[in-house]
Amino acid sequence: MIKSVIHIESPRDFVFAVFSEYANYKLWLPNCEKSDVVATKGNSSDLDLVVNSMKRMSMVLRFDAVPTQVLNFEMIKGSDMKAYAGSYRLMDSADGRGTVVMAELDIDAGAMAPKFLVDRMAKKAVEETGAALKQYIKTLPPPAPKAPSADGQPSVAALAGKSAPRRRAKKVLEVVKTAEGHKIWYLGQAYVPGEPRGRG
Amino acid sequence: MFFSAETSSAVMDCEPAIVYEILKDYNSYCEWMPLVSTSRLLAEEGDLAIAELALSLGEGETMAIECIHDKNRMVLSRAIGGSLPVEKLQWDIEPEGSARCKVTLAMHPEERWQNFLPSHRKFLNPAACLAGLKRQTSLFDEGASTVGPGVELVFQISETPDGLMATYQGKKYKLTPVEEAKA
Repeated sequence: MIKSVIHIESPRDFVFAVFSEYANYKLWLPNCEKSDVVATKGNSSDLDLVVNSMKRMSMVLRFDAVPTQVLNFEMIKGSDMKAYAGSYRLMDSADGRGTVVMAELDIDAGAMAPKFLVDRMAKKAVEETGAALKQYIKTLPPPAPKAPSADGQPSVAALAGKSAPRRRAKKVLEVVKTAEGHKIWYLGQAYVPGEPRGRG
Repeated sequence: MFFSAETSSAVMDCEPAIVYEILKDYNSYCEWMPLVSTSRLLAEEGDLAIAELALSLGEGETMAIECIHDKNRMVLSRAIGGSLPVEKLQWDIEPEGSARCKVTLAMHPEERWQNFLPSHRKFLNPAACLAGLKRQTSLFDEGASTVGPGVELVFQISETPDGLMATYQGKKYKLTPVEEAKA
């Protein structure tokens, strides 16, 4: 299983919308020649996909979505690989400025292809997909800003992305005076200053 | 075996909750974890977090980690991107009497040739990580004030939930960045 993290500076619902426009994959997915939706039922869609990379591969992928959270996919038809499955998990960025996507991809190319080589190719494919998606999103009109809530408070979604503030007081620096002179404590370590230097 | 897990334990003079909070505070790993030059939380949802650490091992050595939390008991981090020597870090926290806990760190190395480099071996040092963690716990120890009979507090800076506070000559001040104060 190959994993990769992609940071996209667009809101999560917008990124999810791009991911779930399956017919548009040919517009941004590297080396994609065909992306036709052949069936849709609820949050599940089957996509007839042709990718022409090191070799031309044709497959039908089934996408199952949990809107704005996760998109799972797996090959349900195809003869070029034994198995091809993965997911895109979307999370609000902790800095409140976008979406963090955790991409996972698992490929079984059969007994003839060494696993380490397949994994290396899969890693490259995941990274290229992330870069292509970021580039594609830049070409799209930006999403409309969300209207502020009626009470003027930040939305739950906006707050969800923020990391919790530090709850405990953290001592950073302390200078104390003792009979022996001054002592400095900084980030857990104690220091004793040397002899004061004279002027001039 | 060269690629077997390196494990070490240490007793900390604090509640497990303090250790747990430090381990969950990915923005501050650079303050205490050896060889970590920058660290930041990318995203967090429930018991799962994604963070990014940069190491001072060489040029561009960064890793993304996915972390699973078990409150006050365990933090498990797995490398998911980048080129770093570690595949998995597991921190186990056990209470050890009153206001103490035992922390065990297991570092599982990635099976990569770079791990033969001395600089990378240096990172795979759980005892050094635990020493850094122990030092970090002392920052939150409210009972560990050095002030007492014959010891006079001259100056102190603390980071609190209300912001950065300073104590100088017996008075408390709330510190504001110059840019914000002007605005």
